[in-house]
Amino acid sequence: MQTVNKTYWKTSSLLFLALLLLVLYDLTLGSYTVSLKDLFNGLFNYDATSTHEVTVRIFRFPRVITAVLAGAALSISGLLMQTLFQNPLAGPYVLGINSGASLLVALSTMSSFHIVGSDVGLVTSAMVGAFGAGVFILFSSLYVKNKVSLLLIGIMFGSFTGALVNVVQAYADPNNLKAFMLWSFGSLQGVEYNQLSTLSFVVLLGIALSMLLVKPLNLLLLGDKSASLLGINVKKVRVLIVLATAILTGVITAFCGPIAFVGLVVPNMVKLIYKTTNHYHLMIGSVLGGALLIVICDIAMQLLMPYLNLPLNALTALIGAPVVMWIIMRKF
Amino acid sequence: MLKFEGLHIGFKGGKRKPSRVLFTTEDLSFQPGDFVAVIGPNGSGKTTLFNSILSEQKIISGEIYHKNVNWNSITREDKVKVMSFVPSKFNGVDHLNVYDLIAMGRAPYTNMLNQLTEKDHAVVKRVISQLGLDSFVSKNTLLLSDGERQVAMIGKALAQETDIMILDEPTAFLDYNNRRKVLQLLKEIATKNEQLVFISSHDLELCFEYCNRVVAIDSKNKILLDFTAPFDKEEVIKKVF
Repeated sequence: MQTVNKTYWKTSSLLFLALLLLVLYDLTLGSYTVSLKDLFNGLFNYDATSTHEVTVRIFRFPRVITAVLAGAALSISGLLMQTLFQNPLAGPYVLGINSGASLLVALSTMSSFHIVGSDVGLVTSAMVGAFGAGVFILFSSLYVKNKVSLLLIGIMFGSFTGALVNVVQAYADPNNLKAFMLWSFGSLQGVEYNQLSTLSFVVLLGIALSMLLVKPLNLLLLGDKSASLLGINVKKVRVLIVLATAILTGVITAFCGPIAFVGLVVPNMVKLIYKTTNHYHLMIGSVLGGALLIVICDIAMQLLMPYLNLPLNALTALIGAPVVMWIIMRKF
Repeated sequence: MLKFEGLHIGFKGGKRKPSRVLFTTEDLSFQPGDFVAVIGPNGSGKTTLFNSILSEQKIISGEIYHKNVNWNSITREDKVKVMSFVPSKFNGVDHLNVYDLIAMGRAPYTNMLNQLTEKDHAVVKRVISQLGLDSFVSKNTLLLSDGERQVAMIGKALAQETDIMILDEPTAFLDYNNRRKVLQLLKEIATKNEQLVFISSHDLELCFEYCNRVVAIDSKNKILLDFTAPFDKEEVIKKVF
């Protein structure tokens, strides 16, 4: 089995290499291309008087790092949901976890009901919304045993919160409404340089928490009872999984908007490539694969920019929806 | 090794709901090497008895002792090193191969990242050769036949290296040949590995043939009856069904 572990590491290294190259390429893209020399200087040898270096550091670096973090966080959330509900079609978006976050974000940006005005307030309210939705779907799963029905409950929950968001929108101030609409398209541009540390810290926290759940996740594949009889405290683990998902989905939803399909598509691809159930490798693969997917989406958006302004959510849906249909045909 | 003292098995009530006792036991003790079949009509409480031993549900009253230690005083982490469980049906998981499935039995001993040590690998390999699964190690559990998958699940329980192994209707979904094969295997495990093996089953004939002990749930008198080989089949059936 040692040899098998080596192939997992080899795959991960290849993905990492591809990610690194695409990240570098993505950094050069934008309203005008930047040379690699300016790129390097902008990141490591910053000179605030050079326009190119300022562009790289203030505009492109945050955008690309956000792409990497968003992809990693959403893919891990998807993996967690798929294992928790033992359903290849589960993901933070289909289960309504994004919607829970969106609702609280809508409330705190558009209504006079400000929880806290700052970033921290926005992130916290998104996480609370995501956690609430997660707990709701977790409770539903105790009563609804059918996998497809659970997905329908998630989708219904999404419609319900969507309707509530519409109500909030109807009373919103036009400026706030416009900001909210742009946010709901999904965007990587919204994160500023000085917000990067908050975003990275929370994402790393969520990934670290998920990594601590590797063993329970592996055993949950045998079913709740078997996992419990291998020493797993199933109830506690379920709540921790939902918490990790809420942290990861919440923070990305707060900063980038509700991004669909990434959490659903990437873990399925990673499972196909790695051919393992060991979540240690699946998580590494999801982090790399998710980051890769969103960076590729960003590259596509930057290249198409002169002709067509494609929102991120449209692009992920264009890639994601066919993959979902393919999974349904294959597995259901 | 395992002792029951005046167990009342059933569903423990709450403040408003009274407890519902399915049956009681006298003082029973089981030795390593015993291959015990639990029989009884549907709904008589076979699964409830197993769940009670496995601490998945509460015992209404009475005590269980393992090697003279009260079962309640053992933590869950230690219990899973003493008892293992095989469900009646496991459907397999895509990309999970037989080696990794059996290795899951080592979970009570591994670190947080579930990394196997040399010793864990050695145990898994020993189990694989004991069960003759060498040619299956890299096969996907989703693609195994029901019989092969059941044997692999038994392998998972063996890798757990427990004194007690509990199997809920291990033969329910198998054909006649595989039933005999699995029961023969369990009999060998009980005697050679000196493990205490419990199964529940509706295959009375096969139980009488392979097990050295049969405990039967008499739902009319709400009591657990204990029979040892050689069995008087007529007597057992008359008392229980």
